Amino acid sequence: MAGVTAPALRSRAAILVAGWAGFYLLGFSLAGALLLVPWAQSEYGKGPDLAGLIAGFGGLWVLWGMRPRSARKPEEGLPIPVGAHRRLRELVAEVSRQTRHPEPDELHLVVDANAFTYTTRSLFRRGKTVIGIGLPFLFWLDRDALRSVIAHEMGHHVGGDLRLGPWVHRTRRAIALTLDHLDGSSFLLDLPFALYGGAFLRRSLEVSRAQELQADRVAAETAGTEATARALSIIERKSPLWNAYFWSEIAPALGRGFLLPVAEGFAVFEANVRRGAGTDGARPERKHPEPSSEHDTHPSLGERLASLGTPEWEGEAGKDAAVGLLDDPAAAEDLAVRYVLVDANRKLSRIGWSEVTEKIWLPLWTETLTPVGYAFAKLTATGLSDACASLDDWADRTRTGLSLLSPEASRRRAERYLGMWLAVCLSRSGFEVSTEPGAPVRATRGDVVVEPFRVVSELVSGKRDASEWRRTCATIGLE
Amino acid sequence: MEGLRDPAGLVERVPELVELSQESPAVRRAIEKGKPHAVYRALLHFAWFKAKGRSRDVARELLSRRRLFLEPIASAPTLFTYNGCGFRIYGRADRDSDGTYVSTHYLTFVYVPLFPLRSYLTADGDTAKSYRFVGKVPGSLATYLWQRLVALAVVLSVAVASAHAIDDSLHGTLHVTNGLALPVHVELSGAPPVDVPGGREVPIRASAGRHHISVLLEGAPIETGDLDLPRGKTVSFWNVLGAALVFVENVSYAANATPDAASEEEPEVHCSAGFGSAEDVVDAFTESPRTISMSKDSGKVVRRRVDFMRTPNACVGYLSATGKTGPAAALARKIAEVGHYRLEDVNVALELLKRAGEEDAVVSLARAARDQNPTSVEFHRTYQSAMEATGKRRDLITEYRARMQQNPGSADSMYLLARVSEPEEEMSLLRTGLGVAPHHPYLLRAFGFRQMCDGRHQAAAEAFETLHRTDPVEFRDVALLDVQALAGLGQIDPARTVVREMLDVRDLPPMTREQLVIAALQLSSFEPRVATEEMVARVEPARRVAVLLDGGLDVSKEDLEHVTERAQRSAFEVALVAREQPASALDALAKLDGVVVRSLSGVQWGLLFGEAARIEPPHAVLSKLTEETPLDRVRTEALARFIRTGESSAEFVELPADLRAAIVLARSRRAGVTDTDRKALREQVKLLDPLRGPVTRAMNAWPG
Repeated sequence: MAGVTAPALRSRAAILVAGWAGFYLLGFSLAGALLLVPWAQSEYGKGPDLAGLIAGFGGLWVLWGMRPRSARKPEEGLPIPVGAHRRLRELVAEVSRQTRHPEPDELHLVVDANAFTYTTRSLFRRGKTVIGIGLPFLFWLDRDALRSVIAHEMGHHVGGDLRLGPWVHRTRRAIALTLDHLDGSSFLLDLPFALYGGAFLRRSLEVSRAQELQADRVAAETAGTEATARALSIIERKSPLWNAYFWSEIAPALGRGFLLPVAEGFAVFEANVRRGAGTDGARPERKHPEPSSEHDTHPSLGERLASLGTPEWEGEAGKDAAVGLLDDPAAAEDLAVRYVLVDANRKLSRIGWSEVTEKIWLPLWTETLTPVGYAFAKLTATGLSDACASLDDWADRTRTGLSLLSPEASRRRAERYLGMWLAVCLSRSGFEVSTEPGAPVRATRGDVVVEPFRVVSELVSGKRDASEWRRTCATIGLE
Repeated sequence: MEGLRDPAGLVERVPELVELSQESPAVRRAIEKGKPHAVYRALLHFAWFKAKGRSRDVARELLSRRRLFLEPIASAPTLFTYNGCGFRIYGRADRDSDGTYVSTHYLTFVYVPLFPLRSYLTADGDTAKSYRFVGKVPGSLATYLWQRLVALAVVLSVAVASAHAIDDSLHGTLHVTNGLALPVHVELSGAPPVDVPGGREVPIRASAGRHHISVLLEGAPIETGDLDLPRGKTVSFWNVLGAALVFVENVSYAANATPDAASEEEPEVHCSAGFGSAEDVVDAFTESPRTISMSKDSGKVVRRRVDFMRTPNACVGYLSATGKTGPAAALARKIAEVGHYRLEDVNVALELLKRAGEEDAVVSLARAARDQNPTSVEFHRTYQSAMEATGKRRDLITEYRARMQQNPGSADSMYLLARVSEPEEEMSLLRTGLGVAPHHPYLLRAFGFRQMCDGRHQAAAEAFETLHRTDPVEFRDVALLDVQALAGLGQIDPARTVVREMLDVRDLPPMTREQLVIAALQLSSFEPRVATEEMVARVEPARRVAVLLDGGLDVSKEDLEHVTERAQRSAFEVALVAREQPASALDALAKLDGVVVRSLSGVQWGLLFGEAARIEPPHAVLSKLTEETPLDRVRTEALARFIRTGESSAEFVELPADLRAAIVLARSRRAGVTDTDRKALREQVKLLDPLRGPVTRAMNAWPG
């Protein structure tokens, strides 16, 4: 296991503060050494020569790269309005009491499969403590598992991690900005910072992982080991699916001003994926437990469960679903997704999943194809096989805007365009197009079912014969 | 690919990388770092050294399109040039039908790209020479290598500069200036020993701080000391015995003018022995450049320079010329002693000791020098001169008579005794000696000289001719006397021949050469007359007036302007006035510094001394002329005595003929001298000045 030792808070703090101080020591030493060259040449030699002037400029360049830059970290998630979701607030308050930590000032909802906590500090105003809970956790977890998640976040406060966090953040940011400034200077000035940054990152991530294990222990003490293991296991299992779901199904709808039932859609998406009805037809393989890498902020699931001394939770959540803590789940969904919008106050129209094809996908495909409509003007359904056979030509023909795609990416884009074209084409030919989450796009007319994207994919890969496709077209009356 | 992190979204644009990253861990690592340019470089390495078959083809295809590895930019690059110096973009590689291309941002000098900074995916802007920058792309291989090589060179040069700066901050340089004529060996603690040739400067680099230094001459220590060697720009030097004239001067530069050692500022001279230093020096022991770059508005730029005069024992001359005769004599004596009594050093030291009035030291040094070189006639001569100068002729006669009795057959002994004997015995001894050794150069020289003193030009010329034939090198010392003897005999052509022959000798001492040139100019007034312009033109401008004055020719204002040394110029001006108006010259000289008197030639001094001494009461300047006499006390007194009383002496008789002529002239002009005596004295002047030099000219021109 990489770096799961748990040094005491004092030693962690010492390490991180030393890391912060070390960065500035390194930077000022390097800049000072470079600035000393022209000074020494002037003081002890015949005056600065070209190399001395370059060294001096390099020193100033390093100092300029290290200059403090203020950047206010934006708040994560949107706060749940006062008075809303009373039961959820009570749970948070209860966990606070259990962990002997003051109740957070704000409770945020986010759309990510994540939970967080932070404390804002201000010179002239009282700071506030925020706990954020990912919307999907409320759908996936039971109340005890959610209690464990909240307790884990409170554990970061109890463990003093929040006091160290700003140091870590500042140092990482300072190193990153300095590296960004010096990167490409071509004179190896970034090398000491890159080496130091790498070492600091490894050490600080090691500390972060230790903090997570300690927060897990607080969670287990508060909500029980089993509930904590359950929460960790479920979140680990579902999070990748959630990300795929959100960005492939929900985000396009949001882009067009619609809000779909998020929880309902994920259930369908998950079921479809589990049934192996994914677009590639492959069943997702179960991942073997992996040790955390030195780049991870959190330990791997295996390490976290091992730390708790409990096995992985294989099943689903308990009966007492956390979603019951919400007064109005739909309102919670609305609040959570608005965080990803550029304009959080944008008007969103609620629609059901049955409307998604007509209101989102078909218009989206049509709009996508419009700029390259000239390429499809003479394309017929029977000619699709020829188009797929000459995908490279179509990759060129369907190119728009800046040419920044590789040949393979261009082919994939052309393949996607052909799939979209066929879907739109089938829709116009009286087929009913279905775009169920997590399932392939299907066009149905009577008994005839055509999966346009799969057809194109098979024609491109050669899995489907061109003559067979032409016969299919003839059978279903497509030209 | 399971677990491939792609923070830059590169794989979405270039899905081929998924497969390639499975074959190349370096490519995978670069993708996971989210740095497309690092991916490009990893892929380049992979394609060149590891990839095979299809992977290599795919990798090369991707590498051919640098735009695939685009990275975002926060702002457009700076495009600014002044006269082609600044930042420009060049190149239009990887053109695409979308109107974009890859250009490279360079640091330029006069439009020549020096250093490639970055490559950008670029599109033409809406107006001419305007651009839209899409993002950063990796540079081409050539650009990358160019950049790295230049960067490496810069990094190395900075490293070297740093190393030098550190070294400079820990070390200092001690410039050892050896103003002696002999080489010395210098041992500075913590540094390798060095040999410093005479008249040279050798730098020694050593750690800054306390050091012990030893200076050795021919293995014997002549100077030791401790010094604190500073670091930095302070120029430190060690002046061996203080013999080298180290000077610090400000060289000023003005637009459209040559460098000038600021004429209004006297250089700061260091003639003290041992350690010295100078601050803010730009040119240390090197010539300042003829020209420097400066802005037109800066008016004047001054560079501080430290250097030393390469001529041996320059400080002796400097101290003497600035009236510090005592220190000059002490230094000269020390140089002579540590230099194992080189004849030149001894002569200089004796001269200065005489001038300083240190008669005991004169005798002591001359005796020590002679004792170190007991067989050298020259050192005996020097010793004898020193004894005579201090009025110890009688002691000398006794000493050398005893010496001759110990070596009765020795021509050298006879010669040395003859030198100090009264004229009658001298002539007898010379004849006896020449009987024993007819070609003995000193005897021939002394015999010829004695004949010249007595006005027997024929006998003198014969002796000199013999010497010329048998010892041409020794003859050089008496060539001028030979010329005078021949001129006195009316043998002008043979005299001119001797002058020409001597002037052809390459290593003739400068003073002898100058005297021969003067003789040639004086001979030009004899029939048949010859042109002198060419000969005068060959004389160094600074010495031209001296030659013209003693040569009896006219001196122009332009000639005088070449004389930059103030005292010398004043001396020439006084001498010019003295050609016609001796009284005015004496009045002028009375108002000038003693340094001016020392700048007069021997014959000019003699004319003015004689004129000042002949009148009653003597002119006020006489004391100054006596004080700054080029002779010793005894001889100077002998001159004054002759002018006043007409009493001759051995000291007077053996003085140079032209000087004696000047004194005889003065005697002839003294009130109370009978006409018969005056006539005889004027005839004697003609005899003593057969070349019709300044004395004859004065005799003819001065008012009675």
